[in-house]
Amino acid sequence: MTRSQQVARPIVRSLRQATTSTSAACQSQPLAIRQFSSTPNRCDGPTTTTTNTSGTPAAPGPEVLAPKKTPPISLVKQGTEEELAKYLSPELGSRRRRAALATTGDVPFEQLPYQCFQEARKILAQDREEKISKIIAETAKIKRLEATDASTFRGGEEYKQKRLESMRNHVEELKILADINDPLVKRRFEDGMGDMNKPIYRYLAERKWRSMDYKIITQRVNQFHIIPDVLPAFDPTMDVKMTFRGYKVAPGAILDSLDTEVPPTLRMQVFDKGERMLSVVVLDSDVPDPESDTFRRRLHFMATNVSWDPTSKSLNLNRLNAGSSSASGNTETGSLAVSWLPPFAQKGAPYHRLSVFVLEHADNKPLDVAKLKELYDSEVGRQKFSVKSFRDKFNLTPVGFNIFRTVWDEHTAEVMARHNIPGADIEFKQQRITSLKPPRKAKGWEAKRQKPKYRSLWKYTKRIKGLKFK
Amino acid sequence: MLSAPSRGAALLRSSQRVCLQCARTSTTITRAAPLAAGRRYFASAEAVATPPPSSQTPPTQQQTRTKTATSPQQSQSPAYRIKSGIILTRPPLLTREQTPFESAFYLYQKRLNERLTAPFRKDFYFKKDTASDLDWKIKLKERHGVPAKDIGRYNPRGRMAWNDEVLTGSTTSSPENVLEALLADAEARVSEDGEIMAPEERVPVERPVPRKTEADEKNDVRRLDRALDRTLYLVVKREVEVGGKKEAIWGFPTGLVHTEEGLHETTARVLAEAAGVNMNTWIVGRVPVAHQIVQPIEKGEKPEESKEKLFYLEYLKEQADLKARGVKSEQVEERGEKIFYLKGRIMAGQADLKGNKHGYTDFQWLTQEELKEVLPEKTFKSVRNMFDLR
Amino acid sequence: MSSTLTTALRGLRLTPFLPIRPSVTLPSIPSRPLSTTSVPLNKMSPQYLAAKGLNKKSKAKNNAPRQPNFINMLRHLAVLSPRRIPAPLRMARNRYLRHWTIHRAWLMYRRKEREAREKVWMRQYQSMNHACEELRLTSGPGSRDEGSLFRTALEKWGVYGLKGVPIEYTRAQTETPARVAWNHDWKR
Repeated sequence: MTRSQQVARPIVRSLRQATTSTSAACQSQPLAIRQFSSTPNRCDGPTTTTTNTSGTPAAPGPEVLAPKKTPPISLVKQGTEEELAKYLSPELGSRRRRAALATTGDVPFEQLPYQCFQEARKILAQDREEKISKIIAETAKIKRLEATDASTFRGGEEYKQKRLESMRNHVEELKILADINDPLVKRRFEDGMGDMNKPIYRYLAERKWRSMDYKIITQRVNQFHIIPDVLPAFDPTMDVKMTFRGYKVAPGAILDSLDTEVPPTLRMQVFDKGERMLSVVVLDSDVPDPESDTFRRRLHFMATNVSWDPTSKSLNLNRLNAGSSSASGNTETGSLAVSWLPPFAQKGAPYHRLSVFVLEHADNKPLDVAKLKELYDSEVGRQKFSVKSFRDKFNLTPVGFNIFRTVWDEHTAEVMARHNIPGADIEFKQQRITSLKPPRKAKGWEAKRQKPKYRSLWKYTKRIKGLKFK
Repeated sequence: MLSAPSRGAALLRSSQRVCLQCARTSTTITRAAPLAAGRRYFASAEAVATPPPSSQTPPTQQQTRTKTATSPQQSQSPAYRIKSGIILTRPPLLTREQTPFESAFYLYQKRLNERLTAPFRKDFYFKKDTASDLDWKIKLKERHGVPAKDIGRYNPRGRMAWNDEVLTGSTTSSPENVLEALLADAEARVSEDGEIMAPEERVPVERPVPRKTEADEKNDVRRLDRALDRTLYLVVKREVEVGGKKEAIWGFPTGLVHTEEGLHETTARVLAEAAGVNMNTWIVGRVPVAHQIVQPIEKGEKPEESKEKLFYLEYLKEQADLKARGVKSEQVEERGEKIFYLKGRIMAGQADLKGNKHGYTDFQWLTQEELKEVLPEKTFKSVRNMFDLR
Repeated sequence: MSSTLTTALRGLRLTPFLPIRPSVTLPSIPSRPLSTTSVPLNKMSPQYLAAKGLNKKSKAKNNAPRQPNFINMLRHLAVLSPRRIPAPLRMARNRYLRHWTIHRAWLMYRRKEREAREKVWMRQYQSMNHACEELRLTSGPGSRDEGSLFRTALEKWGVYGLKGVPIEYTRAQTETPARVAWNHDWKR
């Protein structure tokens, strides 16, 4: 190798590393899937592409730094910018980054030769071994228990099932504990590249959701009185986020009626394993009813038999097809029972709460779409709909929730006309309520001096309008 | 549980709620089996002899429990002799060794701390142009301007302050290196009149005594200055004649409890008798920390059947003693033993077996691993739960 | 005013008189040891004004040398100023992940240690408990009734108080032993 080659090697290597990582890693991770990330995305090259979560690769000694590094470390650390630029181009980044590149090169993250880090990894790896052996032992125990006859226990079959369940829960917990201290798992999760089929990523996702989004959703449920107006009791267990026309919507936002003309896309995440069937319902719980001087509900949308698992990301409600059977590439799984009615609020009416409910089917059984259509897909059916009765009638469990609001705005009339919704010309007005009390008699010094008796004083007193004395 | 007036009634009504002492002293209440089997879960002493009404006691525990004779004259001829022993321990004098992770972590934290603290204020500690100031300046220069002494070559305020992690294989974090750095720093480099001393003039600081002592190297198990970071336990040897040949048995010093003594008094007496008075000891508490039971041989039981009971040789010796003294009872062929161990600590001094009354011929101070080698298995198993972590 | 000044000057010791501003050095006045008359002090002289603390100009310029302890205090405050205190640590992603790993491992390590310690304590407690239970069910020695040894063992007479624990037992563990690690020749 000639001197010039030697000199150019680290540059070439680092440049190659940079380019491959940008072409391979960055393109393969669109921004949308980084939904749980709290840190900006970064193409870390080899560190993000390592697939090893469990293994304990031998910690390399400092020899990974020493050999064939043309820029000496002392130069990297103490040299001037010009000297360093001969070896590592300034385009590679800050001095610190260049020093890191020169000293660590393309060593995978978990093998970075830092003493405390490697010692820490040993401790964590040892703990992981313990956890895994515990998992194995516990699984064997479960197998043994499954094989034993239930009649040998005093509590019988019930006791056996209860015990089995608690043991399985324990195994799940151990699975999480085995992986929770892995920096690569953390990194992958923050990059939004975690495999949601694995319990650790589901656990991390749920923890993240519970830390903020869950609190916001439950706050909306309470402050908009979804409990008790719509459901007597409700606690969401899955994450539901909405986008209208590609824009994220904060829960409870008042939206323009042009945006809400088309149904939203739901980005949903469930945190427990397995496939399940979901129904999606959008209902307006503030439809004014002037005849009876009250508010009524109206169903705006219903989709059912949406099959969902932890790896599923988003559901475009616009692409749901009305027929239950046909499944082309462009449509989502699931079937449309009641098509989207654009939400609207007439002029003068207070804001309408439009709540999006996601309900889980019992035992993953699909619902009969035809029956749903017959029940709810009509003017009367939409008005008769109630989430509570829907839940009870079809044995569903409400699991997810989101909400938006709508008021009369400049586009509402236009949208209503486009969808043949009557009533755009109606304006609600607050009814004036007159007081039932008799008018109060004027009192005080001034009022007394209004009498003709005090005519001489009138030039000094204020004249009270409308007060007459006989 | 019971209100005050109802207590007396309960005493008369049933013996089940009576406190143990009342039950023992009251002559009207016989020692009923249900008392033992029903109320006290562990008290299967009577339950073994008389068939219990409900056998709730787990069988595994029954084996380990003691047996007592059923006859009323039990108190005249007890099946067990009661002995008290002392487990004399020397607590660790040293902290344990640092693990590699600990030392690496400490260095890591020290460097992070250096990055975060206010700069060192020399003027506060060293008056200008004094000998100590000059001394400090020399040492600071040797440390490349870093005030911290034991963080290796790292400047927390320089351009490379971010580079605070040491690489694998570095010895900067090892306790030996830290010690060397501190010793080098403690050495005076400037004489009192402010002149820089030549290397040969410098007076080295007294080095700390190494953690491994001479006794450690020789493995002198009789000395107390070995294994300084472990707990040492005193064991004594005695020769027992079994089947015509002498066998050595190691055990803790034990002795019979006299009628008027408490356990702790016996323990103190036995220790003084066995190992001399020239030890500064302290008996920790008066309750036993461990116990050991030797089962008796009942009448009619053949020695072959009860062979498993003769779990150590010392027992044979005791039985021989008994026979010689002619102690016999009607129910029991050979009496068993209950040994209650108390815990003692030694602070100074050494055991001395000269002229002891118990026939001990040798002693050792052993760690718990070494005890496992030396002690009879049953003895070890009965005392191992009182051992410390190290 | 001038009379008080001159009476004070008569003793030629200015220090007890003028600690008005400690940072200002005292004016040097020529000594007249044999004089009994007052010094014709020029009222506008800078020494006089400085001594009276009236010279506004010299106060503003502050060019007179300060006392060392005052300087020391200023330096101390300068070190403690937020400008000199380092900023909070900022870490890049990989560095942060390493830090996180180390932190988690440390917590794990501490936890394991603590649990091992607690396990030993539980074991020791169980051992004592079993021994006491056995002792409670033991009658004897001699004609003493059941549990009498147990009751004596539970007596707390002399267990607490100043003489309860010997002072030698409070020795803390150290990293290296004493010069003589153990006193074998201790005599009662």
